[in-house]
Amino acid sequence: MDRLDKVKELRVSVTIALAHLEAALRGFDGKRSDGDAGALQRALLAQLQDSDDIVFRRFRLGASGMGAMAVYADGLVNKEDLEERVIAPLILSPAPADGTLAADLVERAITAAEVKTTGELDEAMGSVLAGKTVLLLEGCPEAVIVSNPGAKERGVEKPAIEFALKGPRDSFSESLITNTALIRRRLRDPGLRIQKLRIGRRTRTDVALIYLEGVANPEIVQEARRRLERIDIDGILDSGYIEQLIEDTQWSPFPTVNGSERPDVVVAGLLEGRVAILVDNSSFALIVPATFDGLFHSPEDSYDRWLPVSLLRVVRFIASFAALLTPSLYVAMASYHPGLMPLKLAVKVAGSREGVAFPVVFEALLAQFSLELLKEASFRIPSPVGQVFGVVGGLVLGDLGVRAGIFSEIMMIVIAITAIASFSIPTVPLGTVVRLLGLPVMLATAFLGLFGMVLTLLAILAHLAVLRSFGVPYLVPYAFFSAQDLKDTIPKFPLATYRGRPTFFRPRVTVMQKPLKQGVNQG
Amino acid sequence: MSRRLGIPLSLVVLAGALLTGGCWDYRDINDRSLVLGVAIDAAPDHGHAVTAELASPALANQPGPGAGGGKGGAVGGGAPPAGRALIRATAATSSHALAWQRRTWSRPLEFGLQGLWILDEDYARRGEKDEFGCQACHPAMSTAMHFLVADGHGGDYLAAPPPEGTFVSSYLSNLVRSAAERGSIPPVDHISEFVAAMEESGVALAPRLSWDSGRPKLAGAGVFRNYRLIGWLDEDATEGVNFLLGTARRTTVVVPCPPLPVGGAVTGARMDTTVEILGRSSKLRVESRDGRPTLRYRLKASALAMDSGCPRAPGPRGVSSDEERLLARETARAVHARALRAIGRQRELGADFLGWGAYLRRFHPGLWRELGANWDAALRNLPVDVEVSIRIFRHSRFH
Amino acid sequence: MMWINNRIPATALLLLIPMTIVEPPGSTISAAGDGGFLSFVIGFGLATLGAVTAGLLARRHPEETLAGSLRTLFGRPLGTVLAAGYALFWLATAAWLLRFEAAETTDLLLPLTPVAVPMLCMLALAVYLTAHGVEPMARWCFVVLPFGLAVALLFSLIGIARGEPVRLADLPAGGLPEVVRKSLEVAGVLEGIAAPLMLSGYFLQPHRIPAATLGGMAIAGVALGSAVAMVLSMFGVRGASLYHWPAVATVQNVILPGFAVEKMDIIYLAGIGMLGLGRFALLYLMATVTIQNLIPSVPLRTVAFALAPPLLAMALLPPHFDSLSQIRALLVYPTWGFCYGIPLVGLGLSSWRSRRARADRGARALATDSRRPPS
Repeated sequence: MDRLDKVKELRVSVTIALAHLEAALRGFDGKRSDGDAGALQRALLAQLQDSDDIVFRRFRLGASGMGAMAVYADGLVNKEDLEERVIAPLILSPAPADGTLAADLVERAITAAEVKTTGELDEAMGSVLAGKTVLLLEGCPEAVIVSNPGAKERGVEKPAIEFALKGPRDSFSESLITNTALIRRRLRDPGLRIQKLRIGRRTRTDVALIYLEGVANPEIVQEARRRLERIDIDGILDSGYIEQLIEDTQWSPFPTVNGSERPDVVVAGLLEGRVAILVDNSSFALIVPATFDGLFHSPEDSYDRWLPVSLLRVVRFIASFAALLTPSLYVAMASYHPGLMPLKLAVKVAGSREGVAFPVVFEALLAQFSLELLKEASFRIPSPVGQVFGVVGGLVLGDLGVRAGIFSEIMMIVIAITAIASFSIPTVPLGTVVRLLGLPVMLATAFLGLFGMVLTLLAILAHLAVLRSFGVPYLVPYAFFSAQDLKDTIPKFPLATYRGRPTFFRPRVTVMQKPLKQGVNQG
Repeated sequence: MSRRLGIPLSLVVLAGALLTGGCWDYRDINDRSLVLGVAIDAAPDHGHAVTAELASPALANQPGPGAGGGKGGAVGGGAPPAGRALIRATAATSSHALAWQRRTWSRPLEFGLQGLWILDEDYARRGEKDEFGCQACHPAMSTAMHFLVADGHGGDYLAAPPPEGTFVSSYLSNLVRSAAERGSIPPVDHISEFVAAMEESGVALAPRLSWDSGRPKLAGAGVFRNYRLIGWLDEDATEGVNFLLGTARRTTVVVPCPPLPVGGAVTGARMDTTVEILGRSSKLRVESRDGRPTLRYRLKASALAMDSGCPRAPGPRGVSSDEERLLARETARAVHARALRAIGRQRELGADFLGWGAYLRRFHPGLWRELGANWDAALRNLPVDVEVSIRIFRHSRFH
Repeated sequence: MMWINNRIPATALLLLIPMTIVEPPGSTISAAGDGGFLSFVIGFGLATLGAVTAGLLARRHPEETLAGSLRTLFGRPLGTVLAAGYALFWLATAAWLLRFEAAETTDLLLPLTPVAVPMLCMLALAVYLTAHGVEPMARWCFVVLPFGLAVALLFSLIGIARGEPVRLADLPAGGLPEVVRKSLEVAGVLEGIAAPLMLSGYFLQPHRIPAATLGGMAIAGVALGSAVAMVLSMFGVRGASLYHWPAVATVQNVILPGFAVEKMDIIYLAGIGMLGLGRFALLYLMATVTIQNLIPSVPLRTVAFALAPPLLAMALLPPHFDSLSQIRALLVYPTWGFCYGIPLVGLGLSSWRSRRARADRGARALATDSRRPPS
């Protein structure tokens, strides 16, 4: 294993050395043009000329007739904009006064908004590949980078997963610029820091680390940056890659990184002192540290009044437990402790099981598996057919399953309760957690009855107690609480009572709201 | 062992151990026979005849020799209806009999739902304390909710077809609840409470099960001393016990309807009427009368006149008419009679089921030291006063 | 990083102490049951004094672990021996509790399952938690305890209402000497009161330890007291001593108003099982921490894993249930020594030394003053 790695490493370093040699032979040292006016051009041509989508547009500057070349990736730049604001002014421009050609052109001729110069090959190359236009001028050692993005991208649309009845209706798109703008528009604080990193050796994906200076704990920011900088991978295609690479443990069913497609949720996180990570080409932002409590929160919770929200959270909490425990509880009652049931129910259950061929636990596993199959299939099938399929599949499977002696009627009720409960789980990660944990809980129940079930629940709690996300205990604010932190948990308190940020992220500024002035609301 | 290997390895070992030998207690509900009630009767040579009523859905459609008269109702869509079965065994001890039953019945007996435990009179009179105590500790027996002592064979009650529903035990359990509410049986719910009372004072009461024109009837009580049945309380005396202990909740008494005085003349025929006694409180105190300590009960209750014909002239709301006062006095007299009957039975049997001894021990230790030495005699001679006040608070006639 | 793995706020004692004490079906009720409610009250009062003693001693040595403070107080050799004694004591108590809990589970819920199976499961959970340090364990207790307490309290209150609370006034047949003997026994089964001392050196705000200890004892007192009251008011003093599992037997009588399930004992057992498992995990933690403090070079994780086999072996030693009761009766004596005696002596020594040190300082200051020329 080790030897293979070494051979690969060696091969990579040899390739790099050869590339350097080739560049040197062409008069370029790979990094800087060092005053050689043609070096950048040659290097760019050498590396990009085989790609047909890279356009090398040659022209001459107005009066002086000096040669120039615009290099850009077709489809990623706005060509009209390029013509009007870059090429046309240059062709029509008067001759520059002295040797500071690039700076002079930037100041006097090019009318595009975002322009800069560089002498670095890597930056020039990266800019072309990132959808910018690079201008190379004869006799000039520096290149001019003009930003005129024109790639086709999805606009800001409604959130697809985190739908909320109340609250803003915009969600992130795939463009990092648009996404950071959505955040900046909501948070006009000078302390908002958006720091870009480039991750992915080949994809060179822009990743933005976003936090609120003066609020977020620097140690969390530092930890997040450290974990991002540690990543050395070929490609980052989505924030999901980053999530998997920076999470605290790969073995836990619980996510230690939160995600959201809604800018308002991200801003709320930033205001609490969390750190957000946005990835170019991904419409899903990551928020760290994650907490267990966050799994039960739905976006509109922040916008609705405290009473309905508290009620809904209790319902969600119960639903999650019902989805996790109903089949196991049935197994415990039907196979270990019939005394838990009222007599009439016990007799009915026994009667209903009379014609069933399988043991209770196998029946429950089969039913659970069928439910998962139905769910998965109805997600995959096109939506209009999907619903019909779900209903028909469920009915047919349920009815015929009972008649064929595979399932009992009671099992069908149990599985229906489980399904309904699992659909009312508010967040996708929590749904996944419940699915993942359902099986071990049921197996433990099958082995040791109610004792096994309680033991597994305690083990899950133990795992939660041990788990941390970016140094913050996952179970906050439920353990070692301060009363203030409990205001936004299962019961939500009125907004006016929130005085400080959650203390468990150790924010630098704790005051969030000053008391309302007396009598303001009552006139 | 590195951590990377250690945890998965131990999980695999644990899972393997469970998978290969695990699920020791796993047994599906349809593979168990749910025991609903157990009756223990005396058999010759100090033997025990144990009868158990089982819920057995599998038997509903095929009444064999073991199956009783299960009515059976449809369960779900197309599932077999529930049935019941009776199994009997006789052995030297009840535990042996149960063990024998387990050996001869195809499905293991599940006692988790057992609601009833019936002893027959002969068995109860044997006073087998050890066996009794053991049964109370036995997990199978200690799950029983209701403990009854029967006139005649307990097994016969379980064997008879249930007057309603599918199971005799369920019928009897419901009967216990309603009888307890009426106050016609002593307030004992669970065998462990019976044993606790027995351990504390050596005396305890158990509800009495008897036949009434072919139907099981629950009224009265069996009096146990040191785990031996020593006598019976009839329904009136049991109601009296409940009045004195303050545990009666909805007792009905039949009293003569008082005559209606009109202009000094009494009109209308004398007839009986039913009064339901709802609220109750009972206070026991020790008073000194003529230098002798006297127990004094003060019973208070509210009552509802149930017949529309009596009282004929009710007072306005909140004010009792003369007739109502007379009716209340009649009711109080009936309650008083029942209480005296209970006290009389207590003296006759020499069994302190009203808990005077415990009361004196707790609240009048000085007096207890004086009387406790010769408590049996004191129980017979201790003067007792019962004072009853009843208020008719509602009646069935509108006004 | 910021959230220190091995430090807990002193207020955690509010729940850690009840967690190490409350375990209603256990020996407290058996001990108190024979002696009546009075012996529980006296015994628990003694235990509270013991807990406060341990808390005061822990406050005096805020940065020292148990082994450290014992060495400071009694000298290095004796301190080490005492600390080793503590480790052995906790190991024995934890082993007994593990066997007891497993016996209860198999006796009441899983009659055919070998007793080693629940033991293994519970031990695995305790080792997992202990290996991760004091703080996750405290956090876990924080989440588990409310559920267990809620179940225990709910049933207790209903049970008391159903029984005859007047029975709480009863005294045992043996009279006052019996009450005293039973009180000492009750105090002797509450070994968890030493928790503040055992975890000393792990607390973040040491000055709050005594107050938090008192608060924890109050919570434990309410929970345990109501469970004892439930059993006694239902069964009386003599009746309670009949049962192996008096609280469970009591709960079999309890009917939740309007509740469809008739047999509530299984639910109660589940809730109580949580408390029992939590108590065992904490005792195991104390044994582990004590040993690790003696050999600081070995990480806690290693000690936690290494202790499991000997503990399991110890727990499997008693051949049957009766021997468990006998061992429990024997464990009362070391409990008196380790949880009441040594902390009391330690506190006395500690305060005597600090008073002497203060006196010395005063004398030195006087001496310095006397050298100064009179102005």
